[in-house]
Amino acid sequence: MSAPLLNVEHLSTHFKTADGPVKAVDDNSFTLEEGEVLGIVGESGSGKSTLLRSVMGLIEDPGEIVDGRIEYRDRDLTTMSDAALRELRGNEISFVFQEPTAHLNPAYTVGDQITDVLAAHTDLSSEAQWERVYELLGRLGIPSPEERAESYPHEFSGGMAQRVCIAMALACEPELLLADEPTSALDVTIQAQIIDLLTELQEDLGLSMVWVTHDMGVVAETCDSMAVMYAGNVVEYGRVDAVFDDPKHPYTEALLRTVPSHLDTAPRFDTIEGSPPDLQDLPDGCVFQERCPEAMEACRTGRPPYYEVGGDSAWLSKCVLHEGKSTRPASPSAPDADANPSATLADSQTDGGKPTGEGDR
Amino acid sequence: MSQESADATVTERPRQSRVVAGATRVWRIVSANSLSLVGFCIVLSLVFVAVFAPVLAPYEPSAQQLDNTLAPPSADHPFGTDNTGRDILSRIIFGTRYAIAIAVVVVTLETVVGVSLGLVAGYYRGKVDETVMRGLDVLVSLPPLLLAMVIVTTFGINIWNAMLAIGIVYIPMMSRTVRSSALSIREETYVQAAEGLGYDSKRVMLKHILPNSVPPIVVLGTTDVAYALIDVATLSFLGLGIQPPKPSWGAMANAAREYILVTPWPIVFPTLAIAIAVLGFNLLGMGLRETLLYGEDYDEVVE
Repeated sequence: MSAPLLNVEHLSTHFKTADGPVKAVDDNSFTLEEGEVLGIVGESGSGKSTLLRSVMGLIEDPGEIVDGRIEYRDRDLTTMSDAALRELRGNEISFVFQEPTAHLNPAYTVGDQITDVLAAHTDLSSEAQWERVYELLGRLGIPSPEERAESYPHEFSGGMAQRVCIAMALACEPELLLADEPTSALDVTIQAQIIDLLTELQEDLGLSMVWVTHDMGVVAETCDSMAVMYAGNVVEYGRVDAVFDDPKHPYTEALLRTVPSHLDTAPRFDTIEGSPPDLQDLPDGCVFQERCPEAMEACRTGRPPYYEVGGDSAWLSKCVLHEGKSTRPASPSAPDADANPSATLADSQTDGGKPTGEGDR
Repeated sequence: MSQESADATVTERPRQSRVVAGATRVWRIVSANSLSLVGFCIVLSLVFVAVFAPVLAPYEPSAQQLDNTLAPPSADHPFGTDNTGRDILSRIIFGTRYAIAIAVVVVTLETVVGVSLGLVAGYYRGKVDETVMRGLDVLVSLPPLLLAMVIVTTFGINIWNAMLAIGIVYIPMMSRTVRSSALSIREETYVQAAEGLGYDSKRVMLKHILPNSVPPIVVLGTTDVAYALIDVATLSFLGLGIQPPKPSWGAMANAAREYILVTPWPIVFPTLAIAIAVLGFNLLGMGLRETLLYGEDYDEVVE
């Protein structure tokens, strides 16, 4: 198997405050294979968006990536120069945001804004740019593209504006599309349309996608693999069908139980007792310990590493229930991970546990 | 081939209609408020007079009639004549050209320099911001007219230096205005989206922050024209601006000062002209401020 398109290793993004760092994203790892869709799910405030912004290098002061690596096609984005990053952004890696109308510049027609992306990243002539604009808008299901390209963002409804945003994101034929809750600001019927559209585009264009959402249904329907986030931690990462079938982390299990189904006859929805921990004052050990039905003594000492819980190395869980299984190697480039599991076990336990345990306090 | 020409018409047509659309938009903004409408009419007539000055003026502005000096208004000379028998109406008409030139040069200088500094300061923030703004504070700490006089006397007394001096004096205000709107627009989601699309800082500043800070720039620029007219007239009156025999309103008022006890007309009409021009730009500025910055239907009219 070739190297994954995107490989995130032990990524930590903290926001500096007067009272110590807010650990919005704390020691996270996941990978994205080419042409696949990864869903990142979690409650509000669990760090999903920050994680995605970290990948794009769009973290602004006082936020900072304090640790970890983000490898895109074997290039580490965390050490890349601003100019090189700009070259990637909008070109090879694109973004679709939550509130489409707020992300369009009110001073320009949408056509102008799409040609702007093309002008920034390609050498297309003006005519070719406009041709591409009409083609894109048409492809995204906007009726009479030639006329609509002359409209200003405020003349678009939310769903149409999101189509324009997607057109902008796809203008330069990116490899990787990062979607940050692209449908949560839209009406339910429009949500379905946008989800279908994105799925269709993803398949047609062979896009790789990271899809941040808190909608389990979207994940089940559209994603190949999923990462479950809680309090800044990806607590479980694996193939969607496998995780849905048999969650390997108590939080995932609890989260899946809260998803209402139309077959439900229960008078109440399931909820998870308690509330997420303060990101400024995370407990020692597992972040979920206070709400976990299966919490035990071992959960309170040292952050659990990623245990490889499935048959393959791509199913990970941050829970001591799986103690004894091999853990994810600290270095993604270690090719002999499977060949020599005991060595990597020793390696990553020191590496994965320490920085979050006491090193960052 | 036919395909190509079809595409060409498709892309040509919107461009053409854009000019019309732009003009319509300007008209809609201006006519949205009676203040700006009146101001706009005054300014437009000033421009008209300046352009067609040779046609409109009954006499050469510097033709002297030494047997008919300091004449009161009459059929031959509606505004009378000055101390060397020059027709005051003709001189005022030609003086409009200087007024418009002052407006254009001062505001262009102020806008180009002031906006660039303000944008850079507001976009980069931190040290760059501090350096630029504290540097401008030094300029502000000197009384504007005094500073202008120092600049003119240092670099030589002529119309260019006068306009340059006034322009420089107005830069800090423009920079501060642009900086403050750049600071807030920088935080807008569409600017962050622009960074997410991989635009470089130049593109973000010029295409995303600047167009959205145009309203305050337009308002300030228009009001500043009125101040510039007064300031250049003051400089001319003090003998530091436009030099006689060029027909500038301020210099005319200055020359007529000596004869004010003999006849008031040579000083009344030039100052009246200054007043009307200032009023025109002020009304336009005030009207635009209401429409562009405080108007309820701002979104409707501008966007």
